Amino acid sequence: MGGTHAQVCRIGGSQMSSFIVNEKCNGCLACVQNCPNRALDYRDHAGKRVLMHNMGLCARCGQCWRVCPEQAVEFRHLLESPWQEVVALGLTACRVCGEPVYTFDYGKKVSEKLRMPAEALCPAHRREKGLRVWSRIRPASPPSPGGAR
Amino acid sequence: MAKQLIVEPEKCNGCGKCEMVCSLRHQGISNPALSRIRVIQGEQEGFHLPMHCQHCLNPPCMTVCPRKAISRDEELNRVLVDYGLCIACKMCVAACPFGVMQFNEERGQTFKCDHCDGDPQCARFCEPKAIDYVETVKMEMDRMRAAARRWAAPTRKCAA
Repeated sequence: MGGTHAQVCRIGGSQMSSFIVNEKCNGCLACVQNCPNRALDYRDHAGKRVLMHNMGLCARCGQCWRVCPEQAVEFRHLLESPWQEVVALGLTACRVCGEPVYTFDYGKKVSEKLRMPAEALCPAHRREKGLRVWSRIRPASPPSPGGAR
Repeated sequence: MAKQLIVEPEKCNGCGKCEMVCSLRHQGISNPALSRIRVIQGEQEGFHLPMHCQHCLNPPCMTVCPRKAISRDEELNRVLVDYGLCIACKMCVAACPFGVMQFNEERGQTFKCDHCDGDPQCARFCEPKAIDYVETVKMEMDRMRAAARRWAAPTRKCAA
């Protein structure tokens, strides 16, 4: 193989950087043979040996790192898990103070279910709205004390 | 006989005892922030409105709940949250027109008045009796009587 650097397969175009081998890897496949959950595989194609790793199967047991005769597997990266952004959605702010309350789509869903526009309000201003609503629906005159006989 | 909570803000002095006993009963600690009933300060001085779940006949929280975790308990005339079904999406919080559906960030749970299973502590401990737990029929009678009084005076004046 003469110093060929094994390539790590990239999943779905995203940077799959958890399983990393350094330039010492010579493609002996000891890791593939010893992986207890078959999370490692390889493919010989077009003059190249490609080492593959499946994060969904990997149990992070460290067996590959332990058996590697060249100390090529950098196990540390399998334990490091940085936060990755999944989705970014627009926020709706409180109508009064501008504090973010919920996402735009969430407000749309609530409005749809209520069949009327939902008012975006933060907890403090939601309470104030309660006062407003109450004064609108309150009885015209308060019930007289000891009214019922 | 169905009963319901009735508040008379004219009698409330804003002492906050209802908030204390409510959180004590439901949460085990005296913390007004975790109370199901909240005393709201009015714009004019000395006006306090104890705000609690109105237990709507057609509750918006029940309408928006995606898991049907909110239901009406006709026996005790209340709207209840089934925490076994609740997924804490906070849709009910956004939908409540009175702002009384609240969310406990620590427990990851919504919370609202449940009439203390028929013995509301707020009504029990309210000294000026601004909060009362009365039979729905009686409350209706009071309202009808007040309306009749409003009409009776001008009618009498006309007759005289």
